[in-house]
This record gives sequence, structure tokens and C-alpha cells, in this order.
Amino acid sequence: MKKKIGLSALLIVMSLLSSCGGGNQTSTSGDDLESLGYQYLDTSAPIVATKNTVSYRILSSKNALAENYNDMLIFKNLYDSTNVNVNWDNISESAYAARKNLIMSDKANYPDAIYHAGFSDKEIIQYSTKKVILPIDKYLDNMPNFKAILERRPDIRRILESPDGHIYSLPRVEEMGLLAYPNLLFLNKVWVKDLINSGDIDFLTEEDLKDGLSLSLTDFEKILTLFKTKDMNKNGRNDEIPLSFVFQNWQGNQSDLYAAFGVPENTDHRTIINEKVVFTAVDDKFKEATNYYANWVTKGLIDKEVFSQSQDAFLAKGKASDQRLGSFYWWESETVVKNPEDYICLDPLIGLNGEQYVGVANNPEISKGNFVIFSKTKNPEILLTYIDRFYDPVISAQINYGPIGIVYEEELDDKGMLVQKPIPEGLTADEFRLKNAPLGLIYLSYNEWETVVHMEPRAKLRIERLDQFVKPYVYPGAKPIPPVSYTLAEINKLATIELNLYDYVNQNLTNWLLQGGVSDSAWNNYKAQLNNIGLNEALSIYQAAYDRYKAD
Amino acid sequence: MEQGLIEYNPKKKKNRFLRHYQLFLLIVPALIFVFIFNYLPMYGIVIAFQDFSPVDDILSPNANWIGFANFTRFFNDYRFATLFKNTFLLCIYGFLVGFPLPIIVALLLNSLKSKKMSERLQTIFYAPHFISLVVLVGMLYLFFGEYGLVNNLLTYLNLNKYSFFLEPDAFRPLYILSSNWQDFGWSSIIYLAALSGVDPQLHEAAIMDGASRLKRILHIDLPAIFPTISVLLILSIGNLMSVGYEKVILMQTTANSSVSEIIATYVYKIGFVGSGEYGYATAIGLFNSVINVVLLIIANILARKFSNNSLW
Repeated sequence: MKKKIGLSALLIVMSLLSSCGGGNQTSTSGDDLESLGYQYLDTSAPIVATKNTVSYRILSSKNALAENYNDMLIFKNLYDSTNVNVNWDNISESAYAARKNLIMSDKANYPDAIYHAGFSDKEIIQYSTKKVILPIDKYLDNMPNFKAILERRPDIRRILESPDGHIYSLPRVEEMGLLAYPNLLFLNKVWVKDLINSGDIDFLTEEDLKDGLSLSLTDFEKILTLFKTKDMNKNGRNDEIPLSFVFQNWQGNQSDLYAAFGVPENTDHRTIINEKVVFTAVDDKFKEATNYYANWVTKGLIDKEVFSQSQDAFLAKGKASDQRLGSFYWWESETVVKNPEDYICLDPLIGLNGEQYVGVANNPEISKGNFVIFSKTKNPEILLTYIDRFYDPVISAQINYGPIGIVYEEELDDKGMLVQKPIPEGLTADEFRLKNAPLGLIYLSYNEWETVVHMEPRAKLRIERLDQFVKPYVYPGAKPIPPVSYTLAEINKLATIELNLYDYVNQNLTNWLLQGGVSDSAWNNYKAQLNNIGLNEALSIYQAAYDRYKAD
Repeated sequence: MEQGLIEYNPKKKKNRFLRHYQLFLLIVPALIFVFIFNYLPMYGIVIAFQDFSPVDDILSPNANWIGFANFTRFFNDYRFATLFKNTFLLCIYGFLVGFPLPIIVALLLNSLKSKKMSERLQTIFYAPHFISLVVLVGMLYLFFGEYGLVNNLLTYLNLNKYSFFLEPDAFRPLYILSSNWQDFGWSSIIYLAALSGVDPQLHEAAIMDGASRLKRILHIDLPAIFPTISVLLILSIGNLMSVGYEKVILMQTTANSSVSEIIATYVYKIGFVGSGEYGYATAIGLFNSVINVVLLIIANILARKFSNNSLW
């Protein structure tokens, strides 16, 4: 049965690849670099002398909203400026996730490279030891932009290096200081104002209803309960959702609710406190918090659908004709609700013991595994020089946000920086960006925001909000876990532990929250089971890797 | 068919093949099909004993043979007992509901007075069979989702909502009942075919003797389809532990995964999603198949002992 499914899936992938790439296979065989007029030193001149001499096939997943990469203006422009033709082979993100292994096992139909590869440490090691993917560091001289970055930033080099000392994948670097804080709590102030006016709430006045309001858990619960029982949107139906978010999503998740109990939680359930890697989901305060919020779920204050809804379903809720959302966690209110002016941004909730904290997420600003190139690729120098252009700051900005002419004005401003055009009517900032920008390989460090490109207005707004309402409340000593490197033995060990560990924790957590909480005996069993699965081993591996990272 | 001919054939064994070579030729395409698609790919199970990465060749000389390590890893997995239990319960409940249902339906349809009515009901009953799985699960979400039809009705009646997709208790009933709703009509066809072979004279004689409708079902129809039932029983026991992953994956949420994680979905996740541990996934799949073979053999032995119907 399984064999047959595997076989047929393989056939589908094979036919897909051959139909998309047919006739456009690498045509550089036999051509040596010199006769092609290859050059890499001048980073604005063409890479090969004439068009139609070299062509590569890059497989890439793409966001559902994005245009086909072959039609994207930024890639057409790159072709004109480099003379290197790239045929993009797009598949959807979910299809890529399910087919990645099949693509790798289909040796006859390898593309030349994979963009948005999403390779884990384990995959990079697995494929590099079999010599399927190419060590990129051998061609560093052919990549002037990237080489300069690595020389400037030894920390990035350290993150990229595999245990054997080679670099097999290219990074994405986007430093804005945002990713560690993916949650902001928004509250519908119009509804609260109605409650104040009707006399249901006496602990707040209308003047309090502005950004930066601090609420205790008990007061917040009172508000949510009133949202639930009163017909706040006056449509005659009990369809109000007091508090919503997306459980375990990378942004807008449940973490900060736990932080109010003094657990600096994130979706990985691990963080660094005072240089020690800590697993949050075994803390007794974690149990307390779970029991407390399970009660909210039972009472309907937290929408049960947070456990099964996708990000899209969540975003659709806030756009309904009658507003249903009383409060929600997300990075910004603008993408979630159609009336963001009615929502205020709260400070973190004050816990039962007066604690007012947030945790930090481990989303890395420097991520590896985004691009790999296959060993069988002919003239990899040319392709790598082409890809190196992505690390030019002006190109990086266009890769990340959209091309000059569509997203950015043709003219630079007086500081010589790119200026964003207004967003067309009927599109949100997210939709406009995802349609026109491939995202992926970029280098936009703190420096580039001062010299090359203005941040998106919404990113600036986000930073302002985070600076006021989140960053001052970070749990003392808490830090995100940086993208550390593991040894081969550690990677193999973690591969067998992590899947089980996180499945077990998240499954139990969901059940407890949905079924009214966790008893002490169930909690003890759970902790014992975690040790059986290998929590302590995993923690010591994380700690060792982090210590090495610091020592470097 | 050949067997029938062979029994009436007075010639010696030697000539049997030559005389009926056309009949043997007819079976050749089926043999080739089974060989190519069912037997040939089977060599792949050797990766259950390898540390296999997706870029390896299955029969490469430098394969990393690791013996039974994949199996011991599965037996020591904290999930092993749960996976086994979930798979078994889902299948056994599905079997208990799904096996007798088509038999009952076929018997009832067969004893309907109006043949026209019976045909119409048959069409209605097997129509859902043609709904694709994905569409079916989509329908389940529309009807039983958090904001689906049933919950809207409950809210309208001022009753508490029930989260069918978040309650572990609701998963198995929802899965089994929807599967049976979809397939009971289709599965009853084979019994109806067997019933159509019952000699009408038997029924006429029974009516003359004053037998009631129920008695006729019990003493004429049921014995007539008993061989069919027992063969199908053996076959379904052989398939007891094999349930497709597709529908379960579609219906799975983190909240109900304590009952909806079964061996097949775990194999899918280990093998395809994530880091692609083909060897481990194959080992789990192979283990599951071995259980099925053992069950099949036991069922066959029992059937041979208690009746004359068996597969071999």
C-alpha cells in the first residue's frame, strides 16, 4: 500500500518536473566559463556575455498569493542585468513540505538548485555527506557580495558552517529586532467603552482606553466575560469571540498568557534564562497557567477554534460584517480586523501575583538552509554569482518587499534610499508584498535600514509598539535561543527525541486546555514520561551547543 | 471457470494446458499486473533494515545495514502502545459496525415486495460512495465544525456547542459513521448479487408451508449468502489493522490526536513530512503488514475448522 502511494507520488513529481522543465535543462554542457564570457568581479555588469547561452532550473516553493516567479518583474530585471536565464519551477508551500523527500530521491530529475529549501541541519548533513549538495564555500570568490558579508560578520559564517567546516546553504538575514516578540494584545475599545457607559465596568474610565493600558488577569477576565454574555456587536446573536489567537502559531500565539504566570513561554517551550537553556513546559507555574486558562476555554472566553484554525481562518474572522473579535493576539491589528482604529494595544497582562512579563520567541533573524545547489549542476560558478546578486542591498530589498516600479518609487529620496509607493486600493500590505516579492535570500542588517531602504510603515509601527508595550516587560534574563550549530552526533540524537518530545507536549497541552485542566497526578506522569522520551538529554545538548556558541 | 471445465474433461492432465491455452492466456495480463505492481516493488522493504536517506539507492552495495534497530526503536517509542491501541480500536469498531450493516441492508432490500422500490433505494444508498474523501471530510467540517450546521442549530436552540473536531471522544464515531454512511450501500451489492442466485422455488415452497418473512430470511437467504459472508469475513479480518491514512489525516487536529494518531498516519508523518526517515517508516509499515498476515492466517484456519469455506 505504502509502496504504491510512494511510487505514484514519485510518478506525479517526475511528470511535474519533466513537464515544467522540459527542454530547459541546463544547456551549458561543454561550454567553458571563458568562452561564455563569465565574469564575477563587477557586481553590476552582466555575468555572461550574451543572453540565451546559460540557463538554470531552480525549484522553489512559493506562497499561494505570489505570482509565478517566472513572471515576477524582479527576476525579469535580474535576467536583463545578468544575462543568466533562470527557469523557476514553482510548487506550493504545502506541496513542497510533503514532497521534499521525494524530490531528493528522484535523482534523474534534480533541478540545479532549490530556493526556499528549508533544509534542517540534519538534511544538510545527510545530503552533504552523500555529496548530493555542493559545498558553497569553495566558490566564495565567485560571490563578492556574500564574501564581503561573511568577512564583515563572522557570526553569520559560524551559524552557516556544518560540522565539517563547509558551508552548504545560503542564509536569510533580516535584522529588525522584531522576530523575538511576535505577540501584541489588542482590545476592542468601543465595546469596553459601551460597558463603562452601561455601568458594567467600574474599574476603568473612558480616559484609560488608550494604547498602553495595563490590565490585571482578573479585570481582563471580567471584561471577556461581559463580552461573552452581552451582545456587544448588537446583531442579536451570541457570536462574540472574547479572546482569539492561533495556538502554537509563530505569531499571535498563546505564549504571553503563560508569561503572566512567570513562565517566559514561546512555541518551542524552551528559552534561555540567565544563560541556561530552560524547558518551560515542565515548570509548575506552567501547570498553574494551564489550569487557569483551561477555565477560560471552558467558559468560552477563549475561542475553542484557536486550536484547530489556520492563520487564514483567523484572519477571515476579523473581517466579518459584524465585528466578532473582542480581543486578540497578533503582530498588528491592521491585517486582522477591518476597523483597527477601534482597537487599543495593551501592555502585557498583570498576573495573579502582580507579575507583568512577556517571553521571547526563538524565531531567528539569521536563518540557514534557504538555498542549496546540487553537485551535478554544470558551471555552478555562474549560478552562484547570479544568486550572489540577491545579497546586494538594493536587490535584497526588492526580493523581500517587491521591485522598483511596483512597490518602490523609481527615484531615491534625498538620503539615497528606496521609497515605498502607496499600497493600491483593495489590497492589504501583506497581500501586496506577497504578490510581488519572492522573499528568501536577503541580507538586510540593522545598517541597511539606515542607508538603503526605509522599513515598511507597518514594520515601523510594529517596532514603536513593541518598544513601548512589549520589550520593557521581557522576563528578567530571558533571551531567545540563537541559531546554534550542533555536531553530527547531537543532530542524530535530537532527531530521535525532538519529534516525540514536541508532539507529546503539544498534544497534552491541547487536551488539558480543552478539558478543563490537568490533575496533579496527570502532571507528574507527564513529567516522568518527558524524561523517558529524553528531555534531559535534549536539554544538555541544547545547553552544550549554546555554550559553544557563546565561547566562539 | 477453468476448474469447471477441467472437472468435465475426460482427457489426461498433460493435455489440459494445451487444450485450454486460450483460457490461460486470459489470465496472463492479470498475473503480469499483480507481479509488476504488487510483487516487484516489494524488494523495497529491505530499507526497513537500513539507515536509509532519500538520496540512497535501495539496493546499493554500500547501504548502511542496521538490522532490527528501526524495529526496536518503534517498540521503545512512547507512542507504540497508543498507536497500536488507536489503530486497533478504530478498525475493530469500524469492523463491528461496518461488517454486518451491508448484510442487513442487502437482506432487507432483497425482501422488499416492490422490485422498483428496491432498485431506487439501492441507487440512493450507493450514491455517496462516489464522493471523494476530501469532499466528504469537507462536508463533515461544514456540518460538524465549530461554526458548522449542527453547532449553529444548537446555538439557535440555546444549547451548548459541541466541538466535534476537538473532542477526542467524537473522533471515532464521526469517522466510523461517516465511512459507513458512504460505503454501506456499495458493499451490499456483492450480497445482493449472491441473493439473486437463490432459487425462487425455495421461497415459494416456504410460503406454501406458511413461513413468515423473517423465517425465510433466516432459513433461506442467510444460508444462501453464508459462503460469501465467510470469505468476506476472512478478507476483512486480514485487513483489520490496515486503515488508510488519508481520511484520518484530514480529520486530525492536535486536540483529537490522542485517539486519531494511528500507525498509518504516523508512518506518513515519519516518512514523508519532516526529515524523511524512510527506513523507520518502512519498518513500522512492515510490522503492521506482518500483523495483518498473522490475523489473516488465523482467520483462515478458524474458517476452515468451523465451515468449509476458506481462502486456501
